[in-house]
Amino acid sequence: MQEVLKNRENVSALADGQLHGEEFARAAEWAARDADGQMTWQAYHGVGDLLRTGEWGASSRDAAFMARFKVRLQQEPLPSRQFESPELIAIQVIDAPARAQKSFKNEAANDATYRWKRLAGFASVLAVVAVGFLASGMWDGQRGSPQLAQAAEATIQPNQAASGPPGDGPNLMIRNSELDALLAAHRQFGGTTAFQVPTGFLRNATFEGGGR
Amino acid sequence: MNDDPKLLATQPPPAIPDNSDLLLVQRAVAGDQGAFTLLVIKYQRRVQRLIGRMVRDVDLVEDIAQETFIRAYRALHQFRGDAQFYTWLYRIAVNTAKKFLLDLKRNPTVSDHALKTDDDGDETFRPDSEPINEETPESVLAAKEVGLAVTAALNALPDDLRLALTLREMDGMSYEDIAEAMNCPIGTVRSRIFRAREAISAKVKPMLERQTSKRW
Repeated sequence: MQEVLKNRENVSALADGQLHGEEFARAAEWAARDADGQMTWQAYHGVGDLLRTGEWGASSRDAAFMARFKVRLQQEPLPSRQFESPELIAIQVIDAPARAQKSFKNEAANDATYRWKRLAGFASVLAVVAVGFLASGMWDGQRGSPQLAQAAEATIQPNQAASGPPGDGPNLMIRNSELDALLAAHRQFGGTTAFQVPTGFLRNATFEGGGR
Repeated sequence: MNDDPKLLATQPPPAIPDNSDLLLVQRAVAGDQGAFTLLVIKYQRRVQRLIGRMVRDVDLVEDIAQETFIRAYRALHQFRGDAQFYTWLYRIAVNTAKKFLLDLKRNPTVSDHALKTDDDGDETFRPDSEPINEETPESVLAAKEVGLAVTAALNALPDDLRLALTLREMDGMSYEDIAEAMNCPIGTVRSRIFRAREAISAKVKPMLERQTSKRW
């Protein structure tokens, strides 16, 4: 009897929002599962309603209403889990695996489009990276032209110092006959594209170096 | 159908602010349907009274109330606790009732008797009074008897118990405020409120059991 009274006192405190954590979980469990708990919960709230409104709202139809509602409720999938609180730690969910199987149906309404949007976003990032990479490559290519010019200028001096032994002096360039041939061909075809069309709009990368 | 904007726009009665509803919602979202059942038991009467202001037929009131709670359960994960749970439930109930009534109006087989009218001249439409329902005279009498029993039990309580309970239920004071008003510890407030409720419930429960042959 003492335990029953203690449980009822907890239900009273539960109704007033005075319980937390483990105490809340136990009281809610008892009020929801135990017949006396449910009647106590209903009676306490009925008393409060009567004091506030002057009307006792409970009727003989309440039991049938709740029975019908419980049947409908058991057919419903779980709402989405969005809350985490200490009170949930002590929860012992009855038939959780069975209900969890139903929860997979409870997807968000925009799940399908969200997946496509996520893919599109990833593709956009890839595109930006690719463009950035190409742009940096072209920039390096453009910057390379002055570098080539600088290298060509540098070669002028090494030309003068070419006769010197390798490793002597800062502007020394190692000669490569094949490279020389390629450079000479480049000068020859400078100003035209591979398709032999005028390239006035293209920036020429030719240079005039000193003769060898 | 009663489209009186004043009635539909009526704010719900002030609820006693506490976080127990939010905690029960969290348990329900986590998978404990029993927690949601407690919320249904708590607000069933108020929701039905609200719907009863719009719909005359008691069977229809119950159907709409059932649908209201099911819709609330489905949308439970959207309840953030920014407002009181009943405020949120109130809007669902009103919208559900309006949708039901719109659907019914399109059904020529439904008689207007099942619906409230918005005729101010209709003597049965009393916006400031309790909603009319079609319960049997016996059930109406039983409800009145319970009401009288509760009132008598309340008046028979010791002063400190009656004061603690009325401060909580009618004035919506928190345990802390009641403790300060009555100059006693919060634990004493909790005990007094419980003993008051238990004394009144002792008179009410037998009557409840007679009213309902089968529980849950």
